[in-house]
Amino acid sequence: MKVTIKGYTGVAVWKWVANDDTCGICRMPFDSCCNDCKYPGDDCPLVWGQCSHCFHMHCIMKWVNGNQKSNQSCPMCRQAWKIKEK
Amino acid sequence: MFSLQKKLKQDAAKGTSQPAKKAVDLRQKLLQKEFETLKQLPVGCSIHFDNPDVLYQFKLNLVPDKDSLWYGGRFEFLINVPEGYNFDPPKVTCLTRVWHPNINEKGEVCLSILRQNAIDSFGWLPTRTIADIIFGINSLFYDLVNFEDPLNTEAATLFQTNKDMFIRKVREYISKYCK
Repeated sequence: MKVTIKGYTGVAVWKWVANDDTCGICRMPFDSCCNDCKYPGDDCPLVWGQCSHCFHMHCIMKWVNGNQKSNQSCPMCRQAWKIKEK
Repeated sequence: MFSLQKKLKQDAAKGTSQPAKKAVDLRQKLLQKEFETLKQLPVGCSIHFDNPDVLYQFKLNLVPDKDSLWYGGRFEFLINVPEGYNFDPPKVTCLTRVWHPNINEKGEVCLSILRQNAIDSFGWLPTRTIADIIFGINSLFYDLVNFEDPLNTEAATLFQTNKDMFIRKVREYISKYCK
């Protein structure tokens, strides 16, 4: 029997691999996006701090770059916030 | 302090159009979620909404038990959640007059987690919730009462010099102002 494939549709799923399910700042799932974004994924990426805590990049930047000087720390553990380069 | 508050108010008054809208959504969204899951309050605490459609303003009723110096009283707090929540902390006022080292007679409440600009590291964080605040206020009537760093210095000094007198004054305020 000879089969000819005329066409196919590829389907893929993705998810962030983080040590938690939700962002502690916006309290949305990591696989969803922060409050200011429309689309999750590369448009609203996650970042990890050197303390190993993880947030939506937009959320932690909004907190760290806020006008309060005391906000330079991780909202989870209060260690100085430094992005972990992978 | 006052000039900052004035400035914030002016900014809020100016930004009536589009930009403010998003922040309102975030506050509303977070509060809806928080109140849905807010099941366990400390014993003696209850919350009430004057307007059930407005989630960002509510009252906390607190009736301390026998372990508290303020046993026999009933205290009402007004909690206002600003538009900038959860990047800005809620504002708490005590509506009942009370003789307390960390609550002054104007109703201002001194609680570290409510501070936006904490020099130490115990101030507001966006990971904190309304529940944390309610538990914090409740603790002011138990183990979190702080005589070392008071807002009502007179009350704190009286406690250190004459504890009986302090307790008498607490009772006096309760019988006068707690309904």
